[in-house]
Amino acid sequence: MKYILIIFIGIQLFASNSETELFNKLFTILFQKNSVNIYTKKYSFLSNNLKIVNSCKKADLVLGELNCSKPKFLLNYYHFKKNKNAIGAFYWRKGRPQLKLRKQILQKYNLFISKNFEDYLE
Amino acid sequence: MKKIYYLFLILMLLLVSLSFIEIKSFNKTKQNIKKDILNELLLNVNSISKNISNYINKTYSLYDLKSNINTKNKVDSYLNSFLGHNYKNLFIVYPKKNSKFFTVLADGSNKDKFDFKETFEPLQKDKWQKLLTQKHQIYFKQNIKNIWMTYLYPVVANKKILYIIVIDFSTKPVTLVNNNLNIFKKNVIFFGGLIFIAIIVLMIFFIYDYKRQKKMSYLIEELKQLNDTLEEKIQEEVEKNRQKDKQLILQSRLALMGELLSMIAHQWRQPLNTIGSVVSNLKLDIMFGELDEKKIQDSITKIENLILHLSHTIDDFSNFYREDTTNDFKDVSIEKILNDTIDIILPSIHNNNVQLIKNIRYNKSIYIMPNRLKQVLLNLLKNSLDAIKEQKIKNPFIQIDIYKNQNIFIEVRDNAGGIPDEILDKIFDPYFSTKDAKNGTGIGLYMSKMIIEKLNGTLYVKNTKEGALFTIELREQNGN
Repeated sequence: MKYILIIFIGIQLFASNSETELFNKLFTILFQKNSVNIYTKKYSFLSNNLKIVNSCKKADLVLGELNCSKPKFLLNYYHFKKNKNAIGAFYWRKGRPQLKLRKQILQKYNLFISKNFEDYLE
Repeated sequence: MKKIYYLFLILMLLLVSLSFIEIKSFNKTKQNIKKDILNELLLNVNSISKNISNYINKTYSLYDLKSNINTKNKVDSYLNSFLGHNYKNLFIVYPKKNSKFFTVLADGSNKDKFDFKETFEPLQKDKWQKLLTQKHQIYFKQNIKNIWMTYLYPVVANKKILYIIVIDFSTKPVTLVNNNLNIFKKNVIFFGGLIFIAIIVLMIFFIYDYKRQKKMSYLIEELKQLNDTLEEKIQEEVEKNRQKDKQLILQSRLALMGELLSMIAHQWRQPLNTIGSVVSNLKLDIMFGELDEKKIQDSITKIENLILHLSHTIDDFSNFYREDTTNDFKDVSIEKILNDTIDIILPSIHNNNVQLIKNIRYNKSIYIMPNRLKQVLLNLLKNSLDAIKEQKIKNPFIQIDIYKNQNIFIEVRDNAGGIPDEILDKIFDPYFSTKDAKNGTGIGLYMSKMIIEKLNGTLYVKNTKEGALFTIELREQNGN
């Protein structure tokens, strides 16, 4: 049981590290900044470049389904499907990670899209 | 010994080589089993995929499938019927043009179900790309440690992929067999190790035993040699003893000779004195002119008789001293033997005023070597006489009893006080004497005992109230 728990935590850490890496790369490119303020309730720390803030005002980006007018990046397929104003989403479907970006919304917020992420645009 | 070590080394090398071969063979078999099971699973998945494609192709048009959500729902239900614990996800996609995404057409899943036409980005895109290029079914592991595999089955028409059936299937049977084989391998290695250790222990024991046996055979050989030498040594010792006995006998005879000479001297003194006296009388008669023919004749007769007596004495001693041989066994009266012995020692007995008592209750002839018995009797009488003289006994006596009670008994007893108890069991030992060196050699009684035993008898001693009692017990023998 102890070993299963260790493996599970290990997988979770690995997964979350991959996510964090993706967020770090994506958000810094989108905002063209080395440091992006993120307003989220899901994470307490992401990376040195992604600073967690506790108010919508200070935020550049909202991560997750929170009430805030700033660009929203969602972490659930169904939320993403429902919220048409979200700039994109990252979620898991059948054990497979999925990244989606909405071109129109990104443009609306004047966010930059690099070639690396063009394939994920809708 | 070197051979054993080489054998041991070869056996070890053989065992190690065999172990390596066995491990290699086991691993190969394990891989084959895993491969076979996986092939079986793939066959099943392939068969399911074929059935699904056949059903869809026969039932629905591609257009319907791509555009009609009702068709999608029906296909979803159909796909759902295949799901079980071995099939986690079963969905149908088709590739989007110029995109890494695929569009989902149907999904049989119960949970986390794809929406109609939901775009989907697969993992391991290179595999999917390969599928698009080769248009041939493909399978791959979702990640290295995962039990789930993805099977992609492209449905092709006119060299064009119409859609792809995606099945996430479990490889748990392979994992289970692999785990069990690993347990089996561990057990085999454990028992193999035990056998290996047992063989090493056995070999060590064998070498130890071999060494021990070699040492033992060496010791046995040494013992054999010792035994061989021992026989020689025993013979040497026996020869030494024989020589010692000879020496003893010689000493004994010399001592006896001394005794006899002393006795002869004693016996001759009286006749010689008488002869001297006759000769002196003759001289006086010549001086006084009284010598006549009768006196001369009487003197000559007297001297002749005395010379004859002296001659007899010599003969007696000579006969006594002569050693018997085994041919000298003869029937002789015990009384005669006793009297012959007493004749020799009698002057000494009389000179010491010792009373000699004879109780002869058995006077038949016995078959014996008489001179040997005489020697023993003389020795016993002489010992009694010496003891009497030494103890200065008043009214001394020596008593001789001869009687028969099954065996013939000759007892010689005296009243000289006896032998001290502490030396009673030693008096028959050689060189043991209570007399001083001049008077005793310590071999008289030892020789007497030997002689009596040679005559098939027993000589023993005990103390009476008055003195010592020596008993000669003779078993009667037939003399033909």
